[in-house]
Amino acid sequence: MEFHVPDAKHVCFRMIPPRLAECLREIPAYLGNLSSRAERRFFPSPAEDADADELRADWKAHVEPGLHEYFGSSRDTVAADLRAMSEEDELFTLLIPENHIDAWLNVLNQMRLALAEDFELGETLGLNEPPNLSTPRGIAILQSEVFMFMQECLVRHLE
Amino acid sequence: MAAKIEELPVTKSKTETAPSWNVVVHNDPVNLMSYVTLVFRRVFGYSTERARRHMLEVHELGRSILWTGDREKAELYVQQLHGHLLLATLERAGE
Repeated sequence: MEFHVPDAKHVCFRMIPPRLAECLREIPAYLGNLSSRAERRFFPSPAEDADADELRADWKAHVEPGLHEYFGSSRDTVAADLRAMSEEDELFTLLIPENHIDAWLNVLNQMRLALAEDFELGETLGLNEPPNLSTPRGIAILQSEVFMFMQECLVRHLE
Repeated sequence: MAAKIEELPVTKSKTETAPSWNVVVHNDPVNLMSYVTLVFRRVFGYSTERARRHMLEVHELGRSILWTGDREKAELYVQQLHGHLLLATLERAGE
C-alpha cells in the first residue's frame, strides 16, 4: 500500500492488497458495535476529582451526545469513501477527498483506540515486535500498525 | 503615638475572584505523537514548536497543562480534545 497525492483535491492510498481492503471495509461495522471498554475510552471523564460528580453528569447529558454525533458522522464519511474504493488487477485504490481527511484521521484513531482496548494492546504498540498472525490479537496489532501508517501519511500531508 | 491604620474592606475584581481552571492532557500509549501535536496546534492555535513541547511533556511526564483560564472556555477546550479522542480533564488551577 502506498500514499499518493493525485491532485489538489484528493489524496489516495493505492496498491492495497485484497486482504487489506477487506480489513478497511470492516472499519464501519467494527466501530458500529463498540465494546463497553472502547465506549469508556471514547467518552472519558472530564475530571479526575472525586467530587466532580455534577460536572460528570452534566458532561454526560450535554457534551457526550455531541461527541457521539461527531464520531458517527466521521464514520459515515469514511464508510462512503470505502464503498467507492476501486479495484484493478486485484489491487484496490482508496480515494479520499481533501475535506474528508479530518474524518479519516478521527476514524483511524477510533479504530486504533478500540483495538487497543479490546485486545489490551497499549504497552505492545511501538515495540516493533512481529505480531503472531495466527491469533486474533496478532491480527489486531497488524491492523493497528496499518492504521497508524495511514494516520502518519495523512498528518504529514496536512503539515 | 502610633498612627492607627484603618482597615479598608478588600474588594476583588471578577477576574481575581473567579478561580482559574487548567486544561490537562494525559498520556495515552495509542495516540500518535504527530497526531497529538497536530491537535494541539489546531485546538489552541499553538505554534508547531509549542505544540510539540506540550506533546513531549505529556509523553515523558504523563500530563501537561495546555491552557489555564476561565471555566467555560476550559470546558470547551476539553470537549474539543475529547472530540479528537485525547484524554483531557479540567482541574482547578493551583491544585
